Amino acid sequence: MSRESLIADTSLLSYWVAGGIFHTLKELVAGRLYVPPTVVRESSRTLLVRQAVTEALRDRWLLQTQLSPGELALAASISGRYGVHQGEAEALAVAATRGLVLICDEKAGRVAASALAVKATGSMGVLYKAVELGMLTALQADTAIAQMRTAKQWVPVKRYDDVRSHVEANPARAEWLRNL
Amino acid sequence: MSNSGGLAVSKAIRILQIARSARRELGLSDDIPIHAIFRVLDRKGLRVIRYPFGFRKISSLLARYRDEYFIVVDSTRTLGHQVFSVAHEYGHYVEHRDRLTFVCEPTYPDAGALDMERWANRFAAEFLVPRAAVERWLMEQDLEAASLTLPDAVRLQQAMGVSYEAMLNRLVELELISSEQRVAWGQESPVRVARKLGVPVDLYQPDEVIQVPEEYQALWVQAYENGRVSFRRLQAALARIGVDAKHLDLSHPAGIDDVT
Repeated sequence: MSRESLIADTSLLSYWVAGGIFHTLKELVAGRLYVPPTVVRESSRTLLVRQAVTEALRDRWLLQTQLSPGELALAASISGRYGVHQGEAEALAVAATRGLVLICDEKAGRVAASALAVKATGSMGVLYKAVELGMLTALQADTAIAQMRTAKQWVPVKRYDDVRSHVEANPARAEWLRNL
Repeated sequence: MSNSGGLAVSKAIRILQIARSARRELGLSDDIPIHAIFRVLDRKGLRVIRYPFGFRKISSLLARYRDEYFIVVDSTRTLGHQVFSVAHEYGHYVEHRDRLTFVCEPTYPDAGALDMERWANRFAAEFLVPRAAVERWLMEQDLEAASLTLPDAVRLQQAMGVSYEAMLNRLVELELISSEQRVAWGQESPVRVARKLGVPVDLYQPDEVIQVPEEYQALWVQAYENGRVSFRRLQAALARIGVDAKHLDLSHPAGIDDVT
């Protein structure tokens, strides 16, 4: 089983809190999910996300990473070049430098990841893994997606079936996500 | 020489000619004040940005990005100061635009140790307050140039839309008041005089306005909708002008490929 480490921008955290399934991340990626400092700061703008992230960091299943001077310089360059915000740029810089898998739901961020040869998935890719590993039912995933949309999070799918059929159209990708 | 701020007479005449020509290019005659200078220049293709900087080190700058020029001015300065700063930067644009960037602290009239800064200050004075405009105002007010009073100076300043300090300096340059009068009148509070005269006091106050080119928001939205910037980047850019991106009816660029 793959034990790749992951680094997330703010979207995974806020989406999964909005969907009421943040706790599932602990079972899925405890001890190998990192967030850069700016993402932690951005997360603190919303009460529910702040509470969830603070608790996860305290319990050490979510890990805050510090950027080296080189990574900070790379983040600044990525931000200017690819039009991403500081938190996203930091996540990209760390992923590119340390070989982590990026979790990001932004078009601009995914374009940057591709250009930097960074492996990436998004909050729905992680949701696929959670359902396929039996940590959530498809019905719970549907409810989570509906709650995310109600909370004005931009999710371009309405039902879990959309996610599954899209992912499984590429079997290699589906396997990679299940093993992530 | 005393009225040309240390510049040679021929140089002063040259500045006057350039200021006149700059007015003509904007469709303005020499005998009228320039109202709404920010919008006038913005419409002429120069991007004028007014923003509360939050630091006092500089008050304005001229910058170029590709083929576009931007004048950026600190709106925590008084409105009169902003007007003069913008005219000063416009002077740089007219005469020195081959240089990339000017970051200026045009504390009139002494800011320029550098020739170009002195030049831009003189340009701003000629551009904003031409002799013909002052003479026309005096004539319309039925006033004798020789008997100008302090309240007259404040009313003239209001008519020209410049700062009190810039007006007094200009009156000395035009030999309408003496240097001694300038010093004495400079001790007076123009706000107090303006209030007594019942004229607006906004020129003496900062307006802290955020003024960006009209396309600013549209270009950021377009960049986001085309996937060239992230939502948080858009949010930060629009927050600077007091707009919450979450309240816009955006076409989000992320498709299912971007979230799985």
